[in-house]
Amino acid sequence: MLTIDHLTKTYGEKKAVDDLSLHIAPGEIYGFIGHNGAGKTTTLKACAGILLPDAGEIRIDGTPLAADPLACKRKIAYIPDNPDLYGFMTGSQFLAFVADVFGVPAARRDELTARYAAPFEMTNDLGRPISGYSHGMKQKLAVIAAWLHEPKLILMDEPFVGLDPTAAHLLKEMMREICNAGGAIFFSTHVLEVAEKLCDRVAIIKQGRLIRSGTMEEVKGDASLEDVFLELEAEA
Amino acid sequence: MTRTLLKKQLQESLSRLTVDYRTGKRRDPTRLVLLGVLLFFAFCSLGGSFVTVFGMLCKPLTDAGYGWLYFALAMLLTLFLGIVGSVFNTYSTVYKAKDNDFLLAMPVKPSAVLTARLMGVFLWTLVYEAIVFVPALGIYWITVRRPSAVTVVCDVLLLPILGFAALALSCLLGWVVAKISVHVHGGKSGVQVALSLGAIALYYVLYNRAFEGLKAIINNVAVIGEKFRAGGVLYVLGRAGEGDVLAFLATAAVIGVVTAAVWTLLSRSFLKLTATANGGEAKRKTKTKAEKTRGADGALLMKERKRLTASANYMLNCALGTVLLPAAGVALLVKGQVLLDFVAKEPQMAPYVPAAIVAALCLLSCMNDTTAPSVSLEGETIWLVQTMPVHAWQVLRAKLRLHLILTEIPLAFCGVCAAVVLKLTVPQALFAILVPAIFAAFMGCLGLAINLKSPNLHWTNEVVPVKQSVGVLIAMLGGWGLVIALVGVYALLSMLLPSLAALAVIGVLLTAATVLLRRWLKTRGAAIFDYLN
Repeated sequence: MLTIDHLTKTYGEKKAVDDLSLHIAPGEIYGFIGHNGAGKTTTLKACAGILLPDAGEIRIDGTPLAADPLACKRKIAYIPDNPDLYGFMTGSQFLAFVADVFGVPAARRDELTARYAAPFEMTNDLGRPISGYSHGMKQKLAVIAAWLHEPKLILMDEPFVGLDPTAAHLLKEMMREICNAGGAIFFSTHVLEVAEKLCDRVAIIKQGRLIRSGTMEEVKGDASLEDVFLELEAEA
Repeated sequence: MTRTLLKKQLQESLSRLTVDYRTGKRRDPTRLVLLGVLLFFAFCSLGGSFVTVFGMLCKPLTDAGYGWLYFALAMLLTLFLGIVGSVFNTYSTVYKAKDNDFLLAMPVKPSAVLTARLMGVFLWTLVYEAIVFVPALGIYWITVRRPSAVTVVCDVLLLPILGFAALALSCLLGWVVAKISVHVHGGKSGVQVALSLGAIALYYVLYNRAFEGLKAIINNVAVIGEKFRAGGVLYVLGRAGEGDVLAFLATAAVIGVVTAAVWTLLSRSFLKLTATANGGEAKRKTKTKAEKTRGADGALLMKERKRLTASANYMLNCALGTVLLPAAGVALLVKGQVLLDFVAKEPQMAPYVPAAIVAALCLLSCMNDTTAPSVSLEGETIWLVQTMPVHAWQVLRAKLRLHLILTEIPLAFCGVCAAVVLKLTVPQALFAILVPAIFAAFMGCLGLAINLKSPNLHWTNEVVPVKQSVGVLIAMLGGWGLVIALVGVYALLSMLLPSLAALAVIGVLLTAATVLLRRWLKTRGAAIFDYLN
């Protein structure tokens, strides 16, 4: 679903991502772990097509992102770590906007909005301007918007920050649902317990370089993911 | 603490002039020089009209011994322009800054945050006031020949003192807007626009009557002067300008007390109004309306429209022409006889009437520059359109379309009014409507191109990209400059060609420039937009 080949991105003198290669198969929830400034957000932004890599190639469902960005963007959804949304729209206007751009018919849009807004307890807030939303509500709205066009690949940067426990649980279920339907999830997190329980595969990145990746068992063996992560951080 | 906050406030306004945030490198100093030239051009062109007014007033009043009346009028005009100039952004600057929560969460007194915000407004108020007061002083000092040192000191100090007065009054108005906004749901920007348009209407009414009023004052200076002297306040103000130390101290003291009172009032309600202005209002029950389905282009246009109508600042600073162009058209229909009489008196000017209309309409259309801050206004939300399956050109085209919708229709209306009133022939009318339309399209493209080359996505207050950005300034002043240049080209061409043929050449030149700029936006501009962050 997502192939990253020798991705490199440099900011001035600093290599934010250095020759990174990853492959995320359909049906997989893939966790991306690393300390602050390790290059997670840069990688996710490059996969979302909003950051131009210096070298390497990214393919979404077999399509090279650089060659056909629009075809790739139709298949993906991206949620940044701090989703700033249009404060001048109401929640429902925002969802309608996203649906219109992705060409989602009104009936399907309304059906999906109702399906996801109710469990997130957002139904009564959709008529309010987004400028009045809390961080968690914006995060929930960003999740609903991301699911609205039924993407094949969802890229998320720290998706659980700001969500209440109920919403976080719901999001995990939604992630699994997408993967069961043949989609894939690639997300970054600092919450190692979540990664350990939720991810099929995981990659650990440090100073832009991949230091370990594989299935959860391959990466952590009998130890906890936290122990492995701390050990690798100390080693590298 | 206040100093640190002030420094931060100034940094936000000025750092973009010296540092390119995309590359992190220092900007070319020639850019600053060019900006200085542009500002000087703006100052001279705006201040020039006041030179005429004060030139007309100064000698008769000072000769008759009513120098104080001259100063009183100058100071009232200065105060009025200062208030009109800053009232539009006081509410946003003080209450709507994105970093208010951040600053208020620190061990900083709300009053210190308020003071830093007010100083930002104060500096802009000084700029507006200088446009009136500097010509007034210049004319007075030239007319009086040798003003005393005390007079010069008093006059120079009066500018910041008047700045505080304008600040206090515009803050009071901003506070009223904030109080009203607390009780108005969903139409806050509408309240601000309505109040601001009221202020603009008042300004134009006063401006239109100013000359008659000034003539009346000159003709009846003794009677009117004695009436004002009896009023007291104006006399003291005027005497302060003439260098009367006691009057100066009294003026400074009263303005100081008023400013302090307003500051106290504002600092007491600052926390509450800031919380409300930034979405901290009580939760209300809302109905979710059924949303219409649109295509991607329609959705992008809707987004631009909502962005505009949600912001009073954006509407007032970048789309005022949408209201004032039709108003100018109606004014022409009502008062057009004056122009007809002029043309009848000067029949040799008749062939140039279409060109004059074109120039006037082009100048008026410069009031609409919605595209100039439109990329910067994406701010931190730019990732949304960048990750969507739309070409960057579609996003830019939506911005351009909004500009065209807001400008072309009122412009055409005004053009038709001018054509009807001035009894233009059909070909003349066509040129009078088409050439400004092409000019407006060019200016829309130019605004976008400038903003793509110097974007600012990380502002803490939308006043910065809308009102204080180099791009907006260049777009507006560049428009005026372009009109002046085109008038020059037309003057040269009309020596060789018939008037309409010269206009046609101008139209062709503008069309070619628009096509080229549009092509640049579609290719290079779109590529820049794709990776802005």
